[in-house]
Amino acid sequence: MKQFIAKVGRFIFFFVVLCFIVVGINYVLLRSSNIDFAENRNILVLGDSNAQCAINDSIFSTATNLALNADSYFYSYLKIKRIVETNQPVDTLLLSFAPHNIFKNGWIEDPKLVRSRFRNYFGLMNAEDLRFIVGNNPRAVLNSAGQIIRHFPASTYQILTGQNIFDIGSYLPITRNTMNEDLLRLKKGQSLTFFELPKDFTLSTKEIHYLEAIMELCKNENIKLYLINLPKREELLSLDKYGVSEFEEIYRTRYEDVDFIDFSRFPLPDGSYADPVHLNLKGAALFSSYLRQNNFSTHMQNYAFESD
Amino acid sequence: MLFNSIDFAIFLPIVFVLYWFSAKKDMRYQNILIVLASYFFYGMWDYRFLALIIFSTLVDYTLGRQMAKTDVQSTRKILLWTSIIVNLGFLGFFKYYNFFLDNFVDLFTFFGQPISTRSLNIVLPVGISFYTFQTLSYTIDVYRKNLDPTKDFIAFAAFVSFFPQLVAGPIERATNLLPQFRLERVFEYNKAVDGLRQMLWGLFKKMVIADNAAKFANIIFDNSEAYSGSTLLLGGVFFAFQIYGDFSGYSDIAIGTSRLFGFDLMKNFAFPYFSRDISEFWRRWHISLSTWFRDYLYIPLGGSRGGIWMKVRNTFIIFLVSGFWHGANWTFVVWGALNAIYFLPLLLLNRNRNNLGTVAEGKYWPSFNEFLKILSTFALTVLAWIFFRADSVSHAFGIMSEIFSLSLFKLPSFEDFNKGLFTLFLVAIFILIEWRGRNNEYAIEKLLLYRNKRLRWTFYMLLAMMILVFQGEQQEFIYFQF
Repeated sequence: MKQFIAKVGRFIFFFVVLCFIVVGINYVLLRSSNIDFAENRNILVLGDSNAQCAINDSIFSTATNLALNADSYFYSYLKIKRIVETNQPVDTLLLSFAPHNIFKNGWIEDPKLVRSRFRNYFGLMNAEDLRFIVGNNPRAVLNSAGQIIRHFPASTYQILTGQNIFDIGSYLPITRNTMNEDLLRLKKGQSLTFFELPKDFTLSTKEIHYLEAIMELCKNENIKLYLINLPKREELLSLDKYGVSEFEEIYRTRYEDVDFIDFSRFPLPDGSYADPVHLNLKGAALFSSYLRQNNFSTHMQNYAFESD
Repeated sequence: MLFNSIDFAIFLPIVFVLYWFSAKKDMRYQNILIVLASYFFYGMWDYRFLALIIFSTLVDYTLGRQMAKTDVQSTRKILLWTSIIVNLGFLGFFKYYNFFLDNFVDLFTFFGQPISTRSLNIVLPVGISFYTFQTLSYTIDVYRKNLDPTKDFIAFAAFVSFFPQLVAGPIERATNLLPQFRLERVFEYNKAVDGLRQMLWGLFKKMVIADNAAKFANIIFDNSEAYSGSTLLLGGVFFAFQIYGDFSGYSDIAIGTSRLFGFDLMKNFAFPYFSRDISEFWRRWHISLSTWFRDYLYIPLGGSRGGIWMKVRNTFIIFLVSGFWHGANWTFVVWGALNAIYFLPLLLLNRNRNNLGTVAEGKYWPSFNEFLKILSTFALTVLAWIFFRADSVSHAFGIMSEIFSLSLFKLPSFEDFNKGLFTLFLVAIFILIEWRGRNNEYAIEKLLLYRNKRLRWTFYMLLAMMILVFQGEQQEFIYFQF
């Protein structure tokens, strides 16, 4: 029995050590890499699929869009933190800010999301960030180890040949159209094909924590932060279950000193949306052209809250 | 609790240590520990259904004891039928109630007499088909006097609920497993190591082969109308390896786990995709269920004795019941019927026992003739699997009609095609290892066993690394739904 336990223990020990070595090398290489950021772009776009699909950075060419679908503020925080650490030329941050970003959305705990994110983001994490994500979903993080090891040869090659290694978001053009079925779902108060309505209007303490961490970081690093609520269909905005008025109340009471640009009712022609939440290719082109042609102070006057 | 979960990775060592260290002085304590661990294992899915297992255990234990007290045949028969009715009653209610109800409504509607009924929102208890058959084997064997009824309730409860095989088999016979709970167990190093090796191979089959194949089988079957015949056929091949990797992987883990605790379970799969005809396939696929039906249904019905019509009737009954056992859907019944149609010519021509040994025994590769036979048998099973996997019979026929059209000669194409090709590459490696180890209990039982220890450890390390690296998205074991 003792021999058996000793041998099994030894096997597991060697296996774990091997995994740690591979993951560790990968981590060191990632820590020494930079997020790809063109020098002539000073605006960074972060957030979830709202921003990812709405801002085409080949049109709005002073910006770099690093938003990613269902990206928690935790991941946005990791991105801006690394960009600041590596002295990238960013002076403005546009951060997606909408009801579904601050009410409990489950994004940070979702095992599938953690599993798909961890491999790409763990190179941006320090010990505290690692503790946070492991504490949220240790099982999903452990499962991600396989992903890191699986991609180890390819990612090492990319790093050593100076290629962009961080697959952490970019503009996503959408051509699909689920508007009609989604409007029907909204009428029934159901979630959409690609979007979950908030279950209730309880604030997500984790999202709020990292949103405030981003605000603090921007303040310390002299980065101008704009919270932006991107265009959405009126049918969604007027839905009680989406919680626009609760969201506005939270902005007023907690963050009124931070600039907020509410593009949610931005006028766009029919056929600009893929669904009630996301702009399609055409909508993104129109919206991004508008951003390019105007400056943010104009937008603020035009699209601030009515009560302002 | 899934075998391929972190929960199980924590649960198993704890139970193992408690079993061999804390309870080692007394076999009864070991049995109590097995019962408690098994109830915990099952309760992690849904603790409410534990009541069903406990009730079934109490009923069959009591009926067995009553049978021992009487030699009056009619009384024994009543006791047996009580067990059958109780066990199959639960199974029928939970698994088939809505199916029968819906079909009655359809039937009455078809004859112009629409009736209104209310179907129930019934959750199928995990593993009910497996433990029901296992407890039934006990009462039937006691009735037949093949087995003395046990007086030890804990041993009986452990037999019914033994966690490695509780939810997806192998369906053990009381004559094999129950006596093992009454014997003192001694830790055997070689047996435990062998168990771990079999578990490792089972995990590889499940997490690398089945879970990766599942992704592409799902893509193709869920959008079947968009694909050519060749792609749909490939979808059938993916599903064939999904279900084999999934189910035989589960059996390997179950058998391996049992060996860690000193138990020997029956073999459930014997390299079925190397079969040279369908009857050989059915001697090698889900052996514990096939032999259960053979012993408790086919032989009592007369088996292959009697005239042609008797043989035809019994063959159809056994395959249809086997199909229906898998689930309350006509697709499974058609799958069973199709296999009966494959099997009957061999039976009627007395060729059903032509291929009893291992294919190409003592050779590296099969002859061309053997290869063709293996390939044609595999093709037949893939076509049958299409019915098994399809959502409905009409869905399956839609797929079949596309397969037997000119689009069969188009190049296959589907979403994530390159990853699909990589999965096929993994399957090819898997087939080679299985082929190499086809004489053994499981493919890697003796692989590198007598070679350098370092080489062997490197191989096991590589397998473990492959599981970590190439694991597909975690899927529940297919057979849990049955």
